Order: sequence, then structure tokens, then C-alpha cells
Amino acid sequence: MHDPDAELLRRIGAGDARAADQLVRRHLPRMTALGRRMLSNAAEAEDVAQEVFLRVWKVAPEWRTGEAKVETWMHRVAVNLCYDRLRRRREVNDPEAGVASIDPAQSAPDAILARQRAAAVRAALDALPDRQRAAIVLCHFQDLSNIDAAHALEISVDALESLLSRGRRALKAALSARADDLTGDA
Amino acid sequence: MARSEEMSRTRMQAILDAYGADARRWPAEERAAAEAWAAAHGDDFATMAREAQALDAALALDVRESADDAKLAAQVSAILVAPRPANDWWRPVAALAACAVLGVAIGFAGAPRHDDIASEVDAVFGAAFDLPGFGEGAGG
Repeated sequence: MHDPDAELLRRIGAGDARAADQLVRRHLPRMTALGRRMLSNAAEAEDVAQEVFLRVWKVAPEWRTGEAKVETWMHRVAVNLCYDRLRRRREVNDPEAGVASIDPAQSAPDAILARQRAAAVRAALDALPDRQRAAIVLCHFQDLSNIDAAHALEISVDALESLLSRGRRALKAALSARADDLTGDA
Repeated sequence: MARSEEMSRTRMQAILDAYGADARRWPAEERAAAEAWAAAHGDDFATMAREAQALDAALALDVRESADDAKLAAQVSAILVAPRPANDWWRPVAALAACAVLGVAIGFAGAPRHDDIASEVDAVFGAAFDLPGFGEGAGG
């Protein structure tokens, strides 16, 4: 299994700034995107991304090629950090946390409709159970293969498919009332 | 694995339900078989895929605006090149081992006798307070 990121980690472990920049360019946007979709909070997503890269810094000198792909490992760390934050939110019982909302102040005819459509999808995603949302985010938005997504979630491929199917079914149900509007088929 | 070799209608539906209608997201090991099945069952596949396509289109609307990540990128790059502490994991281990060796050595060499310690303490005490009867030769 060739993993181009493994070499970058080796160089980062040796203090190579260029390798660090390369890894950041390659993965920071994906880590923040993952965090945003899991947490619906840009600041928290950035915190998660920074924590992921801090973990990268820690493991870099001892990274063993062949055990896991760096990208998959980073996704696993990020997902687990998101789970932790979502769990803490529930513990403090913050009903507003992570719930997508539409700001009426931003209203402007065409822009509103686009925002409403996106917000409806976002709200449906946010309403999914964490593991179903994580599965959909990894496979649909992060474009991980089913095998990598299963590794990132530390589950079997069959379990991943089950999460995906249930997640998509729930999304379909949540969006069905507005499906025509959302897809622009009306 | 049988999955990669043959495709059934049931499995095709399961793939659509889990991964959606975009073949790029289908399992790599089954993609070729699934695409062949889709091509061979055009109308049936189109009907089966309709719901999955609608959901894919809806999900595509969820474009999360990316903030200016330049500052964040600089911060993260700084994390990755932060100086590392010297690779001195062995120091506490060596210190512990040295303590153990020293302890054993002292044990074998024999600790100073109690009366030796007492006379040393007396000497120091006497010298510190300039007491008569203490100091060198005290107790002797």
C-alpha cells in the first residue's frame, strides 16, 4: 500500500517545514470541512483541525508505514474528536448547538431560496445520529472509499453500509416534503 | 469475494441505497460489475436510481463556505514544525536504574554504623553552635 503522506510524516518528524506545508495544504481543508459538517460550527471545526494536526506532530517521528493510511488515520482522529464534542454538547444539554438555522436578516429573494435549500439539507444532516452522519460525511463529502471510511470509523464495511443506508433513508424522509424544491425540479 | 464477480438486482439496490447513484462512490471492487449491470438494465436501473439521484442532488446543495484558512494554515504549519523536546526518554529510565544500582551498592558496601552517624551529627551540631563538648573528638 503506497501512502504518499507517510513520507511527509517522516520528514515532518525530522522538522521539515516544507513537508509540513504540503501536508497542511493537502489535508487542512478536508479536516475543517469534516468538522464543519459534523459540528455545524466553524470555530469548533478549526479547533478540531488543529487538534488533529497536533496529533500528527506527536506521532510523526514514530509513524509506521503500512499500518494505516495517514489520511484514514487523520479522519479517524477527527471523527472521534467530533464525537467527543457532540457528546459534551449533549451533556450540557445545549439544544441549539449544531442546529442549522436561517438568519432572516440575510434575506434577499434568490439568495434566500438557495440558503433555505442548503439549510434544509444541513438541518437534515445535523438531525442524523452521529454515526450515520459521520458515515455519510466520510463517503459522500470527504470521498473516502468504503474501506477507508470503515477503517476511519473502526467498523466493518457491512456496518458502514448499514449506517449509510439508514442515514440516507432518514435524510430522504426528512427532505421528502421539500424534495422538488430542493432539487429544483418543481 | 463473490460480490466483485456478479451483480444481482438486490445488491445493485443495496449499493444505490448506501452509496448513492454516482458510480465514483460505489465500492471499487464492485464498481465494474455494477456499471455493467446498470448498462444492461437501462430502464430498470434508471427507475431504481431515481431516488438516489434526487438525494445526491440535495446533498450537493450543502456547500459549506470555507473561511479564509490562510491564518489557520499558518498556525497549523507552525504546530507541525514546533521544536521537539530532546529524545531523552531514556533519561528517567537511566536515573531510575542508577538509583537502583546505587541502592544495591550501598547495601553491599554496608551503611555507616549508627554510632558513626551519631558522632558526625554531633560534630556538625557542635560546630554550628560552637558548643563545648561537641566537634572533633566529641564523644570520643
